[in-house]
Order: sequence, then C-alpha cells, then structure tokens
Amino acid sequence: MSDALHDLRTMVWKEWAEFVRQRSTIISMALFLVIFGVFLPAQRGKPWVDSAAPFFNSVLFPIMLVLGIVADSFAGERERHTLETLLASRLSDRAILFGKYIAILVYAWGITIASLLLGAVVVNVWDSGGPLVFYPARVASAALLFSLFGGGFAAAAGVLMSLHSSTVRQAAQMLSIGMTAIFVAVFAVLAVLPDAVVNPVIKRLRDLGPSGLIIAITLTLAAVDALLLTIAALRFRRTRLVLD
Amino acid sequence: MGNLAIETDNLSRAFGQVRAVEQLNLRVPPGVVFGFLGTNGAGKTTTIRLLLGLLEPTEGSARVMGFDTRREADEIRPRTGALLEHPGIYERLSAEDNLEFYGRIWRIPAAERRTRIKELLTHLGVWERRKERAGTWSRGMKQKLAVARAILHRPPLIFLDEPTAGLDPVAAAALREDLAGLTQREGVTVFLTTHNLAEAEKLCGLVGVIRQGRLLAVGHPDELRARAGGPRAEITGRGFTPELVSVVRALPQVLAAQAQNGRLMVDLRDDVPLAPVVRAVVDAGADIEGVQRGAASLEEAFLALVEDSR
Repeated sequence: MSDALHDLRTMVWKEWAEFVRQRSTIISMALFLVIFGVFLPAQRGKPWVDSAAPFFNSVLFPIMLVLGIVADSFAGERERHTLETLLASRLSDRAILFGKYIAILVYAWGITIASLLLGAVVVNVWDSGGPLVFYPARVASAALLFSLFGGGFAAAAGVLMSLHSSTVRQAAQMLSIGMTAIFVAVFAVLAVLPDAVVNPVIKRLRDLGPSGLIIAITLTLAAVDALLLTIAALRFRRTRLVLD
Repeated sequence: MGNLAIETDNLSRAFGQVRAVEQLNLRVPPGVVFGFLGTNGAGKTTTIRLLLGLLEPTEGSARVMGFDTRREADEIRPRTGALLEHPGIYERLSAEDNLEFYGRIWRIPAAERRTRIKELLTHLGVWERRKERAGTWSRGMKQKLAVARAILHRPPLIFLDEPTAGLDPVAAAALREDLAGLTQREGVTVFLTTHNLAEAEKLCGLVGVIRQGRLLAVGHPDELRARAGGPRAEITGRGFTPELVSVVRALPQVLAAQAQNGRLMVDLRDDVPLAPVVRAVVDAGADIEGVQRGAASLEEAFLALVEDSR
C-alpha cells in the first residue's frame, strides 16, 4: 500500500473509531435504519420501490447526516485541543483533510445506501406475493450518484467551514448560514432571471432526457465538490490552523 | 551548521504588536536534555511551535535536525515527538486506541506497534486500564499517556512542553529518570520547557532562560548558578546578632553576610577556606548547629537573570 493511502486509511480509522464506533452513534444508525429501511418501506409494500420516496431520501439523507457531524471535523479537534498535536505529527496535509472528508462521506453515504437496500429487501419479504421487485435502474443509479455527490458537497462545504472556525458552534452556524444562502440564491436567481433566459435552459435540460439529466446533475455536483475540496486544500495551512 | 539538533539564527515571531520571540539564537547539540526556562508568556511554547514548523517566523531562521523549519518542516516532523501545551489526547478513544492511532501515523508495523504499546502502558502502570476511555482518566494519567505518545516511535528529538505538569511527585521523578535514560542510552535529544527549576537542575545538561521573547542566558546549570554568585555558606544555630554579622562582614574571606530565621548566609570570595569564618563566628559568641557550603541554586540564578533583565 502506498504511503499516501496508508495515511489516508489511518485518518479514516481514527475518525471512525472516535465517532462511528461510539455507542450513541451505533444506536442512532440502528434507529435510522429501522425507520427508513424497515418501517416506512414495510408500510408501503412493493409500491415503495416505484415511489418518489427512495429517490428523495437518497438525496436528502446524506446531506442531513453529513451536516450533523461535519462541523466537528476540525473545529472539534481545535476545541478539544487535539488539533495541534495532530498537526505536529508526520501526517500530510492531504491525509488529514481528505481523511476527515472521506470518513464523513462514507458514513453518510453508507447509511443511505444501506437503508435503500434494506428497504428493497423488506418490501420483498413483507409483501412476498408475486415477483421480486427492485428500484428502477434510473432511480437506483440516480440515488447512488446523487447521494454520493450530494453528500460530498455537504461534506466539502462543512470541512471548509470547520477548517478555520474556533468552535464547533461557530462552524455549525456558518455552515447553516452558507447552506441557506446557497438555496436562497438559487431560487432568487431563478425568480429574477427573465423567462427568455430560463425557458431555453429548462428546454435543454428536458431534451437531455432522464439519463442525460442524471449525468448532467452528477457532473455538476462532482465539479462543485472538486472546487470546494480544492479551496479547502489551498486553505489548509498548518501555520494558520494552529493560530485559529 | 555542524551536527546540532537545533540551531536558530535571530529567530523572531510577532503577533501584531506583541513580539513573542525576539532574535533567538540557540545551539542545542544532540543527546542532551535542554531545559527552556521562562515565566508564563515568555515565548517558550511559541518557540516549540516555530521549531516544529507549526508557525512561521516573522524574521530569522531555524534548523532542526539539519532541516529548515520554514521550507522543510515535513522532514522535521517525522523525526520528532511532541507533547505540546495541551496533552492532545482523544478523550472519546481508549488509551490503547490513542497510541494505536499515533503508532499507525508513525507507520510502526502492526506487531511491533502492539509490543511497543504494551511496553509503554505497562511501564506507566496503566496497562490494565488500556480499554478505558481516556476522557475518564485523571489529568496526570492523560499527561503520562501523552508522554508515551511522544516517545512511541522512538524519535531522535522530543519536544516536551511542561511534561511534569499535573504529575504526582512519584510519576514526575519516574519521568525524569526515563528522560535521562533516553538521552544516555539512546542519544535522544530532549527539548523541554518547565517552570520547575529543581527539575531542570536535576535533569538538564543545558538550560536557556527566556523572558519576553528574549534569550537571557544559555549554559550548563552549574554555569548559570556560578553567574548568579560565587561560593556561599549557610550556618545554622543561635546568637547571630547584628554585631556578630558586622564582625563576619569584616572578614577578608567574606563578600557579604546576613542573618535570617536562625541562619547566617555568607557569600564567600572564590576559593577561600571556610574554617576561619566558622572560627570567627564561634569566637563572636554564636552557637553553631550546622554548616553547609554551596552555591546559588538554579532558581536563584533564574530569578537573578529575570531581575537583571527588567
């Protein structure tokens, strides 16, 4: 294994040991899976896989799960006085930054995918008559990609905010304001732009068809994720992080 | 440059108008315990941060293990261990997992890592409690764990910022013994800051005194003590009247004398015999219970240096 990969794994190991392996997190994850992977699908039966719920869940869940923990990534270490010792170690900047990012994303994405898979199993077991059903290919692929890159967006934005925040509370506030500002800005721009500009864009998106739209949204999210991570990497300066 | 473990040239760091470290020129040879002494806010922690490349100097430069702290900090950190201002222990992890994490960071092979962790935790007397969350431990135990983390990968240079803070006297003495052993057996260089001057006197082969970012003196503790004053004698007993003190002051061997709390403190000229002084005290009518010859302590030397710099 290359040194860079080893360092990345080490960082992910610590993040998971510190958060995911804790009893409170395990209980939350179990509750999440019971509600969204068992209870709700069982209520709907096989129609669940063709409904809009799995798709919306896969978009919303990773973002919600990431936002719940990402503010702690650097600000928490700073608050608990562990950051300086970590920065004094031989871990590279990238291993620390991307290790934290990956650990958060894999946790959120993993639970989301697990709840979707569990839901598919539950509806087939619960409603055992007739053929086995699964999510339509487009829904499954959109769920897979949007949850990954949507969660990735939230994780990258959160890590960026947490990087120079003095406290977890400050990071959480900045993140929440930032996210709200983004959504408000999108709707404001759409409301302000004249129909002559908006309509051709909508038409072009329609022309792409469902698969093309999935690819377009995925590529856009990936580009935004990459941009945010690049900014975070550029802003990661040990000599500044200690002072923050 | 030579083979110095640490070398700084006019190293300076300012935070706005505050000059935390100013024109620091240090030479620390390998294999010694270097004690960096100073009052609170003197610039000790800032110096460690500068040497580890965690802060950039505003002026001057520093080389650690031959590497420039500004350009080659990534080469310095793998060769050092550090216990900084705070223990930096992950409180939600067990003690064992704290060391496991740093063992992985230092790329110690798994089998060797397990052996080393067991060796250190057993040595500290906490092996049986290794599975407990570190957050439930006392401050002293966390400090011990942080020291273990700093030496886990056997670095050739260790930075320790107030390592015995929070330790009980037994644990502090054990740590001093361990550090002395590390330098003697393995040639490790230790750069430590402390307020405990008795500790520095026992442990350090070289000490530096810093005040308001400026280095006031560097040398072996004996050299600093000698600078603070020559030989002296402490005579305990009764009858140290003002007249007797005047008689003693008039002796050719004596530079100064003063009586306080049943003790007569006499500053002697260099290399003079003490017997004529004792005889004169007895002849002047005092009852002597004890006589001790010595020099200024490091604490007195430190206080004198700090006082002189005001």
